[in-house]
Amino acid sequence: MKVTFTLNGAPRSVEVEGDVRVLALLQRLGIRSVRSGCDHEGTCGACSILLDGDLVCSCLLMAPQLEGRTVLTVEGLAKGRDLHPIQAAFLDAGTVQCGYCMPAQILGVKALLDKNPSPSRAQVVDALSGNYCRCTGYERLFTAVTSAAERLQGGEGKVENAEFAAERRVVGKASRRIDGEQLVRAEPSYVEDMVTADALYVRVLASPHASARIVKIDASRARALPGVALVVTHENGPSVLYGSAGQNFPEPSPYDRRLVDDRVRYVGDRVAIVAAETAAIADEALKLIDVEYAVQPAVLSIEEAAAAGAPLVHDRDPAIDPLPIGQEKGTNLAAKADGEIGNVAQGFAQADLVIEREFHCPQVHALPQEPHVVFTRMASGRLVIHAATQVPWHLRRIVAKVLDINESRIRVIKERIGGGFGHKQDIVHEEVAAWVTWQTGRPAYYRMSREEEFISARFRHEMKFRIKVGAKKDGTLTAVEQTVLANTGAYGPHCLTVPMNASSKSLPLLRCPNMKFSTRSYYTNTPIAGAYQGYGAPQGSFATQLVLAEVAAELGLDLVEYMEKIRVRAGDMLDIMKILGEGQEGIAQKVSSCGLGECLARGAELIGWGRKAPDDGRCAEGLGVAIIQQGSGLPGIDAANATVKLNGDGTFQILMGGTDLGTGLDTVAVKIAAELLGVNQDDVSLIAADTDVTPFDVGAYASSGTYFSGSAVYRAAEAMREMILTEAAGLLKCDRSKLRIEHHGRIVGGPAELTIAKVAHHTQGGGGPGQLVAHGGFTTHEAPIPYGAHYARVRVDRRTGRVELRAFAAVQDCGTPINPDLAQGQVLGGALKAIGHSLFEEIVFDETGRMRNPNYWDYKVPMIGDVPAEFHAELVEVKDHLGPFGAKSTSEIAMNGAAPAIAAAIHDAVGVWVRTWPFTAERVLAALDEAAKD
Amino acid sequence: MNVFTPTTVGEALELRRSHEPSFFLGGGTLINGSRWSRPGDLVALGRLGLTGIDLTESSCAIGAMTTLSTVAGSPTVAQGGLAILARAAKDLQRINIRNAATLGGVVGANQAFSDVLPALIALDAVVEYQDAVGGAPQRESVVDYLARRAKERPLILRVVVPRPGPGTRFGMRRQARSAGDLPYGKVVCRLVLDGGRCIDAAVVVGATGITARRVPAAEAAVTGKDLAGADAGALAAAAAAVVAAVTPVADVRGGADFKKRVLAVLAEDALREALGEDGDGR
Repeated sequence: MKVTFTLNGAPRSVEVEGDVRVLALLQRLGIRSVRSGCDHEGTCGACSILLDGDLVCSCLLMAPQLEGRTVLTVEGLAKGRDLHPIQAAFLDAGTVQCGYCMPAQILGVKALLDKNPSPSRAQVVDALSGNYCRCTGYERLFTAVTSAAERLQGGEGKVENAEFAAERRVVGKASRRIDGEQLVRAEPSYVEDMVTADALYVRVLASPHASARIVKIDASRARALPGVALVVTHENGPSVLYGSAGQNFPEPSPYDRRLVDDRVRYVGDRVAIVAAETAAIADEALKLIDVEYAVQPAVLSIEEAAAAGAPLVHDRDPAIDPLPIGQEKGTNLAAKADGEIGNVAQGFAQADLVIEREFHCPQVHALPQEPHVVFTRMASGRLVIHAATQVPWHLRRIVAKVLDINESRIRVIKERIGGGFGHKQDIVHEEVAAWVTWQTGRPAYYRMSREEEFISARFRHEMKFRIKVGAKKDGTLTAVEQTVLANTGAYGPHCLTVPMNASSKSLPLLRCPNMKFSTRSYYTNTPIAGAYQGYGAPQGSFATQLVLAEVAAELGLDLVEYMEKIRVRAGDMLDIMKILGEGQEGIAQKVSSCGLGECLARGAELIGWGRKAPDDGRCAEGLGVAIIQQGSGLPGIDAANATVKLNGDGTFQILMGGTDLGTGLDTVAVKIAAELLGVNQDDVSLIAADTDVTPFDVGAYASSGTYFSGSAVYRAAEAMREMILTEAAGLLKCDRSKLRIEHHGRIVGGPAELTIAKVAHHTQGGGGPGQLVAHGGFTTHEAPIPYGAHYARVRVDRRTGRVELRAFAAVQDCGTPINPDLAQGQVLGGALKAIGHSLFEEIVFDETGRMRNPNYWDYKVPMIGDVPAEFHAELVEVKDHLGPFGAKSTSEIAMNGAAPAIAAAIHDAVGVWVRTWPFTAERVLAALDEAAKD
Repeated sequence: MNVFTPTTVGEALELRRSHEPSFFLGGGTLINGSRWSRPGDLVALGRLGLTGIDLTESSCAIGAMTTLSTVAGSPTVAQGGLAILARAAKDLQRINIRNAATLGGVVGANQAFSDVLPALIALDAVVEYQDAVGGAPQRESVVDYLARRAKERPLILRVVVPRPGPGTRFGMRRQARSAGDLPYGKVVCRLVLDGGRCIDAAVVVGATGITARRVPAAEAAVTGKDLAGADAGALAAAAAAVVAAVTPVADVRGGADFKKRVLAVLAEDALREALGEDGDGR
């Protein structure tokens, strides 16, 4: 039928089939800003449009409903090269991170400001109430709205941002992210924007059983279906065992899976792969695959997996461990580690108080708006992978292993990532599309459905803790002992390192001479756990910080004063790091700087420590705090490289291996180079994370971006500066040591002034030595540790158990923030994710191992309405000598504070310790009931 | 699948009759959603002109295709003394759904988790419908309409809400896991007070897993009582009656016993609000 409507001011009349959704129609018409994050649930808002001026989900409208109506998308906002004031405000307010949901948020703000030029905070919340954003924590949206409102009324809309590094021009000052404009304009950015019309659609047949052997599989009917190009089962797939963990080689994770196996190990495991001309044909083909299963006993919990004689998850092929990680053949133990410093037994004997508690952290999900998406194609006999990956080189290596080809035959291009959060550190599905393309020669597009994303992408490990703490009467710690049990699921990516990180990011925070940890990670017949921002630290922080809060309560000590007493300090030697290596011996580390004292003090001010609303008998307020840390990459393991090229006009181009997963690393890199080379941010362009073009980098994980990739850029820029000055000295016929670069591109100190542009002209000319190209590589054996203090103020309803988060303050020491507004946004985003995990997010399985809530209706993520009325994120500047301009990592640490801070606040409010997250009303009520029995 | 876009009520009814299976399509936020979609043709109602809000001395008639956002923000609805209905519409805390979802669609879909249905029931709302081409519009209570089998629900033209009389007070409470979540408990009450004495009451429970419904025992617990004075304990009795009357569905949002305890609190708090103790009773 014909549908006539107005799209971005232009009349359109299009023929559509009846079952076409507006989302699909608009995409067909070239509108990229409408994206699908929830597969037509209407729960994410990424597809939002303005329909006759109102924000609606285009995925919930059928095309005929457009008849006679007016549609506006972000593509209709900017006038030529001039951004719309709302788009500009979003950039200047540092609101944009991954950008995937930003067009919808911008439209929401437009709809609001069109009707209400001066909205209140509550009205902003309502206007954006249906738009999910996992990156930003929403808070800076309020700033963006204020700025946009001013601009629309003719004002400047200036955004006030904190500034750091007073002696620097570029570093420490807020500026627009370099990829911001393409994101707010919805220019081609993400993998899905690169897909060609001739691509095959890839679908996977998922196992209905938690544990079964495939007795027989018949795909002949599927193969015979017109439009089906390839069906892969265990009978025609590669037999190589590999691991999906995107870690440096050799990985501290097992090789324990095949592309398609004759054994399925969780509900959702791969049974077969189909590639077809359309998604509908591929879906139809899946139904035509006949499978006979021999269902086997499953182990669905850590306890079942650890029991003597338990059915084995990997009963046929023991996993191959590239590094010794403690796997025990013939059991479900995937990895183990133990270590001790001092003498814990002696420490407990010296204690006046010994507390031993158990904690449980069920699985929670990362859930970026963009699911796992990959597009593969052939080019000149080589495989090209357009990926939303944090680890392009690891991806290349693992795909090469699966395809049994050389890495030189593969190119990985990292596109903009619509949210990563560590979740895209694993090779979750890229090898599937790669196999299809390699076998068929056809382009292949595999976009995981939201349900697949829930089930078969990776999520945070379930962990159980037993923690024992010994303390003197004044709180001085004499001993800490952690026992960590982890559920790695059916396969073991990160099965050692994530649980170990629970210890390595919680124990070094404490001044205690005697500490011990024991980690056991088990295979179960549940979906696969893996990397996710925090990487075990949130679980370890929750358990460890909360038991310390109990110690403080038992001893009658103020929790802030207690944290101040027991915390680590600059100059401390962290001997425990020597026993916390990742599958190899660790490195004892000296604390290069520590802003914990400042963080604790500032956070106490922000939250109003010591002041609470009166208890009315039904509801009570409470305050809590936790101190936190993370790392800055993996010393001795990680490596990063960058190249800086001098352009002919004195500007620069960076080729960086590092991966910006929406965090702003590309902008950080440009700012570092601009600062060192005496030019403006706009004078430096960047290409990153393309295995054919840029040098090697391990990728973005373990909080390595700013420190490792940033340091590589720093070194490359330093080398470039040296090359320029050497050339300039030759031209000026003077001593090189007298010359320096000053802003803007001036070379001063010699007998005459020279510009970088003139040096460039000389070196690139026929009489010169050739274009100046400088390389910087970075490896290290030490890394700065970021610290922080997170505070929570809650109100707990004793009758319903409901916990209302009234205020949250995240104060962090990230050394010198290179780009403060983006860094603050990272903190806000991390903190709100952790708040969601603490209050309501939880993956739930039934008794057969089937996930009960693989959708946004039943698994809740924080929306803007969940942002506490007071949501502070502040950075304290701490001098550090290790990172580029003193920078440390910023974002990952922000996941670690909410759970213990909120749990401590709940106790402060109503006197119960809730030791399982999330702290749902039902759990809080149960804890209150239990306490009432005592 | 076909999507028809009739321009008259008669045309819509004929299309619905002649295509089996087929469904009326209001805003589409439920039926077009992946969770509730059903195979069949759709008869879109967007071009029938079923919008507009008319206020008379006795009632407020709201066109079936009026969006929940319009209801929530309508000065006419507020002027009609129906702020409780506007609040209920806004309890659906996703503006891009509220902007498309229609009041008629909410009634027609009869979702157990609806934020709006308990309020309509508490308000004794009726639907004006047409079930045959050329037939005259008829009316029946929302409760009776919901009691019909889904396939037999006729086309709603308007939802007519009686304007509250003197002394009418309202209370409403809900609890959900998070801001964007469906509620796992909702209670709406309407009290008609003569001084402190309750002379009429409606207590409606929703979001328990089944259609929202009145709880007569809870209403009886407060009717005729001096709620501001000697019979203050009646609120607890009403809350207990709510708990006794419902068996919430256990799901990922919580267990049945937990939800019952929450409902008791919501009921008592809603009644307190109606009495002006917590909230403004509107």
